[in-house]
This record gives sequence, C-alpha cells and structure tokens, in this order.
Amino acid sequence: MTQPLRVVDLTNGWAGPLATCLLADFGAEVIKVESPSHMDWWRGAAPEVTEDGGRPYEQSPMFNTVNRNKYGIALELTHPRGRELFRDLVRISDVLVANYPPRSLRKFGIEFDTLKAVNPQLVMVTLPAFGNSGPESEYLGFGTTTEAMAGITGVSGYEDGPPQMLSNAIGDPVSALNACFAALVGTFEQERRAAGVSIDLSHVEGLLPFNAAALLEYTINGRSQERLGNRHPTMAPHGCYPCQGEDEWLTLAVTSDEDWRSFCHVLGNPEWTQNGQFDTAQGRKAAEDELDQYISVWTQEQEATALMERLQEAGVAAGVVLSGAGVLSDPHLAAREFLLTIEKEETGPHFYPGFVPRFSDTPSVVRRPAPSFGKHNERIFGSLLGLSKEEMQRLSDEGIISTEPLFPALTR
Amino acid sequence: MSLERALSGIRVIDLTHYIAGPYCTKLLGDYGAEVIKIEPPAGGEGGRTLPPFFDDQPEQEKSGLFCFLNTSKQSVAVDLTSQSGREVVLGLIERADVVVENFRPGTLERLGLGQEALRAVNPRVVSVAISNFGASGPYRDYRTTDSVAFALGSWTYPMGELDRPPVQPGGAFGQYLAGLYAAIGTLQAVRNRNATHAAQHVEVSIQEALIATSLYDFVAFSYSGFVRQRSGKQFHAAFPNLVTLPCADGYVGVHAGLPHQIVALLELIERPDLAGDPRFQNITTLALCAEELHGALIPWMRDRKKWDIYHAAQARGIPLSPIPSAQEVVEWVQLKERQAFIEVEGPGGGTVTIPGPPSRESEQPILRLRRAPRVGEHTTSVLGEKLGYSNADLQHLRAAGAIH
Repeated sequence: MTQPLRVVDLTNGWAGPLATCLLADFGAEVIKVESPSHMDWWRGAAPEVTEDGGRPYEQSPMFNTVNRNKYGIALELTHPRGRELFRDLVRISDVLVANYPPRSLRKFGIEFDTLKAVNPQLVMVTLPAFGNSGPESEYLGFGTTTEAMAGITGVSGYEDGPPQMLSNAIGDPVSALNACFAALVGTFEQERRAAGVSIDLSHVEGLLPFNAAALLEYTINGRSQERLGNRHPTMAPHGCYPCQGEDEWLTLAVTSDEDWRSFCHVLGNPEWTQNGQFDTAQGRKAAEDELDQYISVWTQEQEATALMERLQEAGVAAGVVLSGAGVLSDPHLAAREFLLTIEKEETGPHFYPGFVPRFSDTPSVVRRPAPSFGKHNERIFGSLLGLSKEEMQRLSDEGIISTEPLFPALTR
Repeated sequence: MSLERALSGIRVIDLTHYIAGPYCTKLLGDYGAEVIKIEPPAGGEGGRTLPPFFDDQPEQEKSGLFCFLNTSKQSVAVDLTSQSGREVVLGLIERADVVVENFRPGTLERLGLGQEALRAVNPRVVSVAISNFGASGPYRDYRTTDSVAFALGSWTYPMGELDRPPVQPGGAFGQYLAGLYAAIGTLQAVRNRNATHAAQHVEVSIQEALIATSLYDFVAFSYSGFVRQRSGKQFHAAFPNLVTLPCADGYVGVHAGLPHQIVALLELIERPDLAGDPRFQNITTLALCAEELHGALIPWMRDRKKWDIYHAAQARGIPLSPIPSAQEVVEWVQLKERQAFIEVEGPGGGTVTIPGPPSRESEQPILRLRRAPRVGEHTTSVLGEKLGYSNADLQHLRAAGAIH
C-alpha cells in the first residue's frame, strides 16, 4: 500500500472544503488550515463565545458536514513566520487545494512558482470563481453566483415567474467535485512526469457541462431556453402535485402513452381520463392546465408516499418531494444505510450525508468529526513538523498559532 | 491524437448510455484515458436520441448533446445479448483497467456480465456502476425522470413560492453530478488498485449524489429541527441578501453573502442610511429586513442594465451577477478570453461549440478533444488491434449479427 495522500487544505466555505473532504473520506491525511484572524466563514456569522461558554462556531451544521475526517490547525498567514510554517507543510505534502481569490493567494506568497521551489512534486489546485486569468478573474462569486453565470439560474423557476436560485447553490458542490477530480488527475500527472502540476479550475467553467443541453440549444440552433417550472417540453402530465397533509407534494411524470394508460388505471379510469385527446403526448401537452387541475383534485385526497408506491408499482415515474425531515425518515435511504451519525464534542451526535461514491473493498469510514478550531495544532506542528513545546508556546504567545479565533475581525 | 495526458495508459470499457455514465467516461477520456464505448449495433446507445439536434433534425448522428458527452471515445458496436458479442466484450474487459456501466441494477448480471464474470476474466479490473437509486433498497427499480430525481434528492422542496407547489431546478444536473462522482471514484479505485493490485466495485446512486450535495436542510434539521420554507426569489428564507431582482433589461442575482459586502452594496446604491444601520450589518438581524432591503434595491436596479450593475458592484468587491441567458453565457467576455468553449466536429459532419474540460493545467491552452464517434466507427480497428481478430473473424461475427 502506498502512503495515503497528504493534502494541505487552504479553503473555506463549501466548494474547497468539500473537495478535500472527499479526499479525506478516501483516506487522505487532510490538514485544514485556518487563521486566528480568519476562521472559515462557514463556521457561522455569530462567532462570539456565549455567556455559558458555548462556541457557536463549533456548531455550524454546514461547516461540520464538509470538514469531517480532517485535521485542523490555525496558523496566522499574515505573519512571515506563519507563511514559513505553511511552506514547511507544503514541503512534505502531495496536494494543496486553495480556494481564496487569486489576489489573496498572491499576497501570502501562495503561488505555484514559489511553492514548486519548496516541493517540486506538488499538485496545486486553485479554484477561483472565474478562473486565474481573463479580465474578470478577480471578480468574486459564491455558489449562487457561479450557478447564475453558467446559465442555470436563468432556466430555473416557474414558467410565469422570475429566475430562481437553486436551493443549494449548485456552483459550490460541483466545484468541489471538479476540484477533487482535478486533484486526482493531478496525482496521475505527477506520477507520470515525476513533477508537480498546477491546476486552474474556474467554478463557472466546471459548471457549464451541468447546463449543457441549454447551452448547446443556443450554440447549435440559436435558441435560449425559457423557464419551464415543473413542466417538460414534451411530456405531460409532468408536475408537482399537492397531497394529503401540510406541505406534502408528489412529483410525477408520464413519459409515454403507455405510462398514461397505467396512470389512468391507478386513478381508477375516471370519466375525465376517457377523453381521446389525452391518448397522445401531443394532446396531453396541449391540455396540460386542465390535466393538472384534474390530477391535483385527486392527489389532494391521497397520502404522498402511498401514492408514489402505487404509481411506481404500475411503472409510472413518481417521487415524494423530500424535505430535510423527509430525508431523515426515507425508508430507501435507511435501507441503504446512507446517512451517517457523527458525534462532535460541542454538538453531540447528528446526521450527515453518507459516502458517495461507495467502494466495495476499501469503504470510507468516519475517523473523526470536523475539527474544532486549531484542534490539531500540536499534532501537526509538533509531531509532524517537529517543533518543540517551547517553540509552539512562543508561536502561541505571538498569536501565530492559536486555538481561539480572534473576534470580531471575521464579521467585518 | 497521441498526445500524452494525465490519464494516458488507463483503458476504460464503457458500457454506458444517456447522460450520467457517458459524462463519467467523457471526463476520463478528455484527460487521456483510452475509452472504448460499447454500443448496440442498431442505432447506437440512447444518448444519440437526445436533443438538441443539428438543424433541429432528430436523426442518427445529429444529437448535439451526444457530441458533447462522447468526446474522446471510440465506438465499437456489439450486441450484448448474443453469446459471441458477450465474448468480444469480455475479451476487451480482460485487457482493460476499468469498466463503467449505468444499466438498471441487475441488467448486466442477466447478460452474464456481472461483477463475478468480470473478475473471472480480469481480477484487476475496477468496475463502476451508476444507477438512479443504487443496487439495493426499496426504490431500486423505481422509474425516474430528472424531476423525480430532484424531488427524492431533496432539491425541490425548498424551491419556489410558499403558496405554490415547490418548483424543480432547471436542467438535468443530477445525472451529471453522479457521472462526476463516478469519475472521481474511478480514479480513486485505480489509484488503490495500482498500489495494492486489488480491484474493487464502485457504486454511485443519483439520489445519494443529490442528497450529498444538498446540505442546507436535513443536517440543519438534525441540529435544530429547522425546516427551511420556500422563499421565492430568495435563495434561502434566512438570507434576503441572496436574491434575484429585476433590472432594466432582465434580472440580476445579488450574492452579497458577507456583512461587509451588504454594506458595500448599500453604499453602491447610495443608501448610506441603511449601510450605517446595525440591523443591516449582521446576517441574523438582516433576515428580518428582507422587504426593506429589496425595497431599497429594486428602484435602483430598475433603471440600470444587468451587465452594468455587475461591473459596478464587482468593482467594489460585491459578489453580484447578471442572470444571463444561454446566449449571454456563450458570449461572455471572460469565457471567450479563456476559450472556455471549444469547437468539435459532429460525427455526421458540421461542427458544434461545447464547453471545454472543467480544469486545465495553468498557462496551458484548453485540451483539444477527439470528436464523438459514429456508431461502430472503431469496431474493426479496436477488435483487430486489441483482440487480434482477423478480417475473417470480423466477417463471421458480423454475419452472426454480434458486431457491426
């Protein structure tokens, strides 16, 4: 077995941390670097220690999700000695992932040309929102920004309403996956050439494939797509229908004329379905509003899960609209033991997303929860970099390493 | 195209169709893996029927989406339901590093190409399976569409207006997500295999891929019982500072996620009164000021154009974007300058402009890609070169309908 990868993780928010989280799940030794003056902003907006000594910045569900299985250190990169220690870490690592804007990285000397001198084998992945070059490379973006710039927000939302940001800022997780893939590709390149490699990953460019059909509709036929809401260009019925109970919904799609007959059968073939116009997709599409009304009247009397099961049994595509609570009680996810329970000292046990992908012979495991701020300073600076206790004390006294974030700098 | 690339030397037998599987093998191929795509002789795989089409003609070799999803691949047309076709494929698998498939669970087993059969011919082969709900569990055989995947993947519930049904996200990205996860899993499994000589099976469920990327809801619910309600144009009920708003020529997206960015935005729109108001400087209290915030922004946006607003805001360090159409994305100067879109030929002639590979080596131009293949375009060359089949062998197999 080769040594697991050692990864220096200079990232914050969602995209960067999830990229290295995947590598950590695969067994890499990931060292997450925060600064006393600049903790990961995903730790939350209410950072102060509470009156009863609670630490809200250790209790962010989002931060704790994407930083599991990592070691965490807090190192002041604004200080020359901090930057020196950072380079010492890079020297003994395989991969560096950094998602700060190009400008900030330059300021701290975190550039491939500099780091290559320290570690000629380094795989360095930087993932600025818009890429490392071009007239707008210094522009700022979050996941919702890059999602918009890839054209995805523009095609999301009701057919008669404004564009709608996606519920989960698709730009972030996709950039995370792209960065993880790029890092792994980089390790193959590193091995093949016995040399380091610097990879430039623009969030927006990595997102374009996820909107390929709409983009190609323009590049091939010159059309920009309209928003369709829950509807489909050719299938009908195709929508999201109310069910019994409060805010319970079922999504269903009739994909063919055969599906339509199965669907009517589940309904008990009421009279309104016997309209010959509905026998063809074209006819159903033309009468979509009318169909949706009929179907809604019927679904309102049904329990969503039971209706999904009946429709699926008849071969009709249908799925309940799962809320966060629904995810936790979904029988399929439970049968597949998808969700993980991870216990962190400051939060107790909670549910988190499981491992994707799943490996038959080397399954990922939870080795540790997301690190508390500066939790592994001693392990990394002492055991790994070989600093003495006195030296670490001195660094701590000078504020170069820390286990307490500085406030209120981060809310500014 | 003999240029050495990062994944050169990895041979992938591609038993995939439509989007999720082909996107996985495209990624591997675009970075240098040798991808041999196995397709049914009659018409090829289903992805060849996906819109948009060249000249709006839904004909064979005219799918633009197929052109995009199948760059860097060779096509070998084999009938997997015939005994000799199966043997051809097993022969290829014997000499491969990776097999990727996205059939419905159980299909390959029925065809005699299950994991055991693969291991029997090649104990070192990494097998990768992508499916809608995974190979186990009560939804295993459920039928799905993108809309159903988004619903059961928990992306739909928080989207839309409170007094209307939830609205699904646009596009088909659940399938792309799963393909990308599978490409990652493939590389990790090959790395392990290279180190330990032990191959393994890699599984990706589209539902799990969607849930693993939707963490604003169920993890928060686990912590606090919080259920996010639909909040229309806002990204999240608690974040009025992430919102789409109308402007003179369309819409802009406000993405001022951090307190100092909100202050800068209020200064930009010449509302120093609000910029100085402590309620607007803290994300928690800002959540209660949605109407005031939007009420201040909307009149200012109304007289200005989206790209002007974008540049003005970004010049002050405020994350803000236009909401571009497909045309505007393709024509956006930042992407043009970086040559993010590339041209490839279509298998039936013509050229198509597609997004280039997601990442690149710094300072390097974007990779040139081999165009998507015609059905069976490489049957003769691949079976001749890799398996040593003679012309007579090939003729025999053709006559039996096993290959084309």
